[in-house]
Amino acid sequence: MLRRLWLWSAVLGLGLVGVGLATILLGIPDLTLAQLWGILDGEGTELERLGVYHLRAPRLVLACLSGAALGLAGAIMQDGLRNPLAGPELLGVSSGAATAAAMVIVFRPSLPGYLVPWITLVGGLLSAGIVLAVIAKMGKPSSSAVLVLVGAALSAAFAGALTVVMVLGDQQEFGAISRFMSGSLASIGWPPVQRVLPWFALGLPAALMMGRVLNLLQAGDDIAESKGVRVVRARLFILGLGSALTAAVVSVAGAISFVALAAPHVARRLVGTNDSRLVLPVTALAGALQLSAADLAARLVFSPVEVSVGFWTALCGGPVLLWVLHRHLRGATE
Amino acid sequence: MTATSTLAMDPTIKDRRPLGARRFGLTLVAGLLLLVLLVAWSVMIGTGDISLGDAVRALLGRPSSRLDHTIVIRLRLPRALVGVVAGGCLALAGALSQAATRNALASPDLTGVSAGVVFLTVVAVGFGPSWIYHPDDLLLSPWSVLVGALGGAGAGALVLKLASQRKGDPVRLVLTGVIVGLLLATATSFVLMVWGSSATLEASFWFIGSLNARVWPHWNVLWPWAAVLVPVALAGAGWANLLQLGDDVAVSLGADARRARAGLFVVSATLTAGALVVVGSIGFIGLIGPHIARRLVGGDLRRVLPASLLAGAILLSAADVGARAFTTRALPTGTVTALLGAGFFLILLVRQRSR
Repeated sequence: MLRRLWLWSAVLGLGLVGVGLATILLGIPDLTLAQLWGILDGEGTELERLGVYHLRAPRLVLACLSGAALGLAGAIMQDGLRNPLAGPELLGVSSGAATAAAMVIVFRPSLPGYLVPWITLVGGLLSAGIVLAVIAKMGKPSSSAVLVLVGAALSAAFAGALTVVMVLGDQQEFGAISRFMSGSLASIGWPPVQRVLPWFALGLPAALMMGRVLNLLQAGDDIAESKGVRVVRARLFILGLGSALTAAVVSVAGAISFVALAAPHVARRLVGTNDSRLVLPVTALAGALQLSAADLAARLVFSPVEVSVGFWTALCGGPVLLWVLHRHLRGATE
Repeated sequence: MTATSTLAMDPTIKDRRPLGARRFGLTLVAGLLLLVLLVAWSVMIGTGDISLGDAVRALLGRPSSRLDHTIVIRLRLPRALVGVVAGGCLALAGALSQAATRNALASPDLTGVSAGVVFLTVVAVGFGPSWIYHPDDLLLSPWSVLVGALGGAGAGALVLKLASQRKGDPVRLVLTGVIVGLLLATATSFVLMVWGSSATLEASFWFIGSLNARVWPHWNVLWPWAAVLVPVALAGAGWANLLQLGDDVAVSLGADARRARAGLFVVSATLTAGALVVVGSIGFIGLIGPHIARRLVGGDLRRVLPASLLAGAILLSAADVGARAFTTRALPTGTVTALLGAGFFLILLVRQRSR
């Protein structure tokens, strides 16, 4: 197990370095490695320096951090709720957060940037809270399918609310909000990255340290209780933490789907275990790789047109999701 | 033991009072009255309210002013009619697919059918042969309904296959449908982005479901399909009744269950496509309409189908009137149905589980 962990961590890490280099080098203008050294030494044209330092570098950092955050949010929600399909997008957290972000764009464009993640967090938590309330109302312990369907209903409602907000805004805001709906890293420069950095600095380590609790929760509520875990409180904390990580990502990059759903499953498969302590770090790496590779594809494949990063994450995440669904359904009948 | 109790043992109409033909007739008449009221209201309100008297005079061809004539006949009447027929088609499609799958949650938008319709239609618009797409505002040609129906039936078949419906509980099918729908929606937005032409830009406005700016040309796309498909669907009520009893019973009564199911499913997908091509992706009517209909007239599909038609027409008209009566902005009707429908869906889920 441990050997596979190191092996795959190394592979994913190398992949991440490769994608990172490609992100820095490729685009308009294309650079060579030698040119990059030159730029790091302070040579190169103004345009090249600007491109590397202020466009590509922040974008790469944001892609890696957001990917890791989404992957971890998905992993802790899946293990904590014992539901292979849980994740911010199917629980409605993403769309709640995106609606909140859209409302900021339309109604309070002058709001200071550092407050935006808080607003999106309120949107995300509101949605997660409604999901939990509905589930609690059902009384019986419900199947994971029901949880996802409740989330889907909320997503539909929030999508309606989002359209209302879009209609109330003007044409220019329409474009900005569309970006939020499908997710894009094509902002930005450093300021937005700095804005969410504290969120990642607190949230990512917190999620990575959840391994032991998640293992106990996976083993069942009774076992977890007997080992001193307060199950309800732990679940609420997990939901809050997952929502916070998602909200931070949504506040700068919009609702990017399929990373939180796919990365944890890929990680579990690679490591060959469900032990959260091992899965979580690999999930973070896999998420970072998935999102940064998707962003690279979004920039380059249809260049000069930029395609939303959400499509590329869906392209690799969608099949994983279908596979998980297929296994889940088969398991349900057996 | 009376006749009532034997009827109550029939699984399809369990817990429902057997209703006399008279009560069914009364329900239909009440529904029609409500619909007429809604259409009248729909013609009266908007930018520049028109009194009932003026509206009626304009409708009868004796408008009190030129402006009244333009507003009522050119703008508001076609919009109201499109809403009535599209809503009816959507609810009828929902009732058919719910009967064919024996699943109370199997409406077009929860089984991936709507997403399939939208996806293939957008792809067709992207390729842009002239028989698909008129360069006029938000108008697809009547033939695009066929393309949409193909997409809807394909997506629905995929979902049924993945969920292998006959084994499981109703939630499985919908879970698969929701996820396939999510993937198709992503694919749709990708197509819109890659073919960044003006045609696809208009298509992206089209699929925010709405009755805004629907005028006579839209009506002309919609009504021929409705005129063909609605009678076909209503004629399928006997089959649908058999399927509701379960495949074994249906076969023992001499029906080809597979073929009947496929037939109903295709009619349902085509009805969905016909409505969506004209009004864009308006959700949840196909879920709510049939439920209301069943509550009012019982489980016999010979009654449920016409009642669904009426309920859907009322729902979409009411959503449109509501959207216009309470806001001054041109709120897309689809947002109203999404907000109401999502809540309704949650209630259904809670009920289904806590039973």
